[in-house]
Amino acid sequence: MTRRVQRWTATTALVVGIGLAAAPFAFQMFSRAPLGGTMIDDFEPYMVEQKIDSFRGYMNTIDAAVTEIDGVRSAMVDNGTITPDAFDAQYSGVLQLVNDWATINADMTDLLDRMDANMGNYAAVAALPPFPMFPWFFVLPGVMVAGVALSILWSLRDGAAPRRRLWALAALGVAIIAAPVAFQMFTRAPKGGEMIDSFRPMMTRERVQNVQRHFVTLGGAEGQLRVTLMPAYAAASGDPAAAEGITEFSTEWPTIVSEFNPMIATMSDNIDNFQAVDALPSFALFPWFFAIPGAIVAAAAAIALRSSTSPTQLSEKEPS
Amino acid sequence: MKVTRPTTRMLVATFGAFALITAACGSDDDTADTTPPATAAPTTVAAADTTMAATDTTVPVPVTEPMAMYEGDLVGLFSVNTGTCADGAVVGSYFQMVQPGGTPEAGPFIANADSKCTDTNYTLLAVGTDGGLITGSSQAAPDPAFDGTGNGLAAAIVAPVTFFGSAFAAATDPTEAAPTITATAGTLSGDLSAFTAYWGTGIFNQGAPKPDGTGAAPTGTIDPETGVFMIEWTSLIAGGSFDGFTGVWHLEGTFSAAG
Repeated sequence: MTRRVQRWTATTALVVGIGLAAAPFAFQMFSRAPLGGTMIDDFEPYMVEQKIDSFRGYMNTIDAAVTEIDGVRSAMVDNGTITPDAFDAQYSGVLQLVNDWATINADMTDLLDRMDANMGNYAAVAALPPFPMFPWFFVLPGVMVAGVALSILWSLRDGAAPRRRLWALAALGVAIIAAPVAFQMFTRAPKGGEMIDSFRPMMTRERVQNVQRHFVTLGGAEGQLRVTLMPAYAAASGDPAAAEGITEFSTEWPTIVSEFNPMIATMSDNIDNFQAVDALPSFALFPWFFAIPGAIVAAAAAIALRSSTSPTQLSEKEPS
Repeated sequence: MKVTRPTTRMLVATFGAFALITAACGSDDDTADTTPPATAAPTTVAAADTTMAATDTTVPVPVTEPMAMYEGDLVGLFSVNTGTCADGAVVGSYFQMVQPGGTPEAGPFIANADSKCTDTNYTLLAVGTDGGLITGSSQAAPDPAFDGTGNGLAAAIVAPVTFFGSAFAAATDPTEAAPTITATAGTLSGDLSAFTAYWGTGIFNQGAPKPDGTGAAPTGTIDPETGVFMIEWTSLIAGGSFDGFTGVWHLEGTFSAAG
């Protein structure tokens, strides 16, 4: 009976060990996990409150400029400098910004809101062990469990008592349970899952291309404001200095470019990385991928140990 | 200096002509005029002298066809003629950026309000501190490549030009193959895979073909006698903030061999 329990324990542990070791291959973790790590690293400069606040500030600057454009247009039309139609034709880039601003503002604000709302989640994920190591957290304990299980089966074939190996198996099981606890995976991994869910709508090629288009609209309008419209406004006896929002928009534009440009690049360059991570099992499940196999191994080893007697008795009762 | 095979042939021809003149005239008077430097350009002069010498001495030397000086691998400076816009026509060197889904022929392009042209789809390029594009070696961007507000600083090939409110610059990346351009009967081809643009703190490969070998090579023409050239290429931006956009480059100028 004892030997049967031990054989059952070793077989169970062997299956669990092989399953653990094989999991990263099944989930393509060796290729996907490092991509996730790259994404986490690339987003680091943007997942800070100060950066998000500065982006919100730029949106406010542009919003103020857009609000003033209508006043400039009205002034130039009212004093007979230009007809409404001619204004719209001549300053089509500016007009496009005015028409599209509500959409652009909503879209960009949504991106910033998502990033802002996930600061804590990002920090939790970034605090996990390096992503490229993830698959090894499965492979190494899996191989160790399978190895001990095989050695138990081997010793049973030879009639030896595998009590020490059963203790080793139990210890391995407990260690596998403890690993996610030690890395705080039960709290951090679900946060990673929340972040992935929240980023999913913004990390698509279509969404990034929309942002690219917004950028083109903003850049085209800013240039037209600075190079043609505001000089024309001044020539028409307007006071460009009074249009503080437009002035600030143009003054800040080079900085806005240098800030937004790498952020858009980060989004664009990480779409594939995000999709690789998104294709992994849910982050919230990860700690259970350790806890459940660890518990099975530890429990099986404990049952075998409990059912076994001393090695001498075992040999006497169940000679091979 | 790199002496190309055609240049060597032309030198041999030049010295042959010189020997013929000496034998015909029995005089050294023209020696100073007919001794060319080891560049292709004076070779044409030597050929012309050959005809004159034959006329003066009534020796029936056949008139030689002007030799193609600019043939084969062209190692040297492709000087850049600064672009200008007059009467709606763009002359000289320029850049355009095609939006995703567009074509270099029909656009849609990104309009650059800072353009000096009425058609703001064209961004004119002005000659840089090196005089233009050098083949056979790299013209790397300075380090850092940007100033504090993201303006590109590379100025050797073309002068930084304002594009979308920020200075746009170009260089050839020394980690890629050095630029090469080859002339074949007045047609240019080559490898400009190292060509790189700098804008808004972003670095964009604008090579043709791309460093991985994809994309078309540059094409162009050159006057085999004068070196006046036109070369153009397109380069799809892969990755970064302008992923999917295509740069269109058009350079005009005059080639001069290295040395």
